[in-house]
Amino acid sequence: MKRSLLNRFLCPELSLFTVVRIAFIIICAWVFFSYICIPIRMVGASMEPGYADGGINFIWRPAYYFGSPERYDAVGVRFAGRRVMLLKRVVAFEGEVVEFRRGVLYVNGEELYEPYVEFPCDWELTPRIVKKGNVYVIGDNRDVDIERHVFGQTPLERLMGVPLL
Amino acid sequence: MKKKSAVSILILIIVVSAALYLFSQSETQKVKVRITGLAGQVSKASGEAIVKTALRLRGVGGFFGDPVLFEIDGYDLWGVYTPDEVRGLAGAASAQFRTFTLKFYDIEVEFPETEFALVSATAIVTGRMSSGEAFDEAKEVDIELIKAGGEWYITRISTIDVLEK
Repeated sequence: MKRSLLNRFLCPELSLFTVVRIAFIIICAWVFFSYICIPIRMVGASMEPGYADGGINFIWRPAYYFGSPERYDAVGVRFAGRRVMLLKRVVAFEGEVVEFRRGVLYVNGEELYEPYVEFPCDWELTPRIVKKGNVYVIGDNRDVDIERHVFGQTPLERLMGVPLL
Repeated sequence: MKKKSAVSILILIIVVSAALYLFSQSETQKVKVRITGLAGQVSKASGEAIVKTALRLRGVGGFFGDPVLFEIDGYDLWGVYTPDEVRGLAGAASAQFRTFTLKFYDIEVEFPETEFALVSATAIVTGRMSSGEAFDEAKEVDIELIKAGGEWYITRISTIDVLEK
């Protein structure tokens, strides 16, 4: 009796071809989700309200294979490897001067338009220059003390990519 | 004759390479076990009995060489200590936490010299202070270990700033 296409797809006969095909799919999935599109679970509220605590997302690594980060890009910043990252937003580039005055972010002395920031703050940060080969990243949620919010400049090599969702 | 010699040399190279690879793997594994063992030793579960805490902390000093250098930002751990002093520090710190969990991710081990290992990893500390305040922090760490008497001992732990304000 001839089996339907769907039946053969869902329950293939165990043959060498099937085993090779399954192994190929597993290897492709492992490469894709380990090196190209890394699944992440967000912990913490540093990027709220745009990226909620506990949310699931993916870091798309090819975003910077042929290009550089742009201002306002949300980016994954790696620690020692791929398993733990910080999710932050790029606000300034090398040579630019960053400062906070009464909770407002200034880049090169001009107020930066930040529509993604919903919670006001009173941060004060003296002017500092972004070093060569670095970008300056900050979380969207400024509703905590400046000492408790993890932000600052980081080398471009640490940028893993952009969140897909 | 020449063909036999070539084959012999090739086999010898393969055997030596395999032996070196296996040796390196086993040492890498030993170092990783040492690092994760330390994490388990300092972690404190909720409602842990005093006797269990005392027993757990007694073993902490055994992970460290004499002396050990700490360069850990944010935790007032900066300087040279003996293993006994580290045990004392761990005891004092443990009393301040209701729960404390240390985990290492992305552990990469290198052997720049014989019986000297350099580890790069991401450390995540989570838990709750005695006051009830929760904490959750990630740090990139470099750890140096030396091998003595067949066992690996930590001689230096330093944190790396991923973001520099």
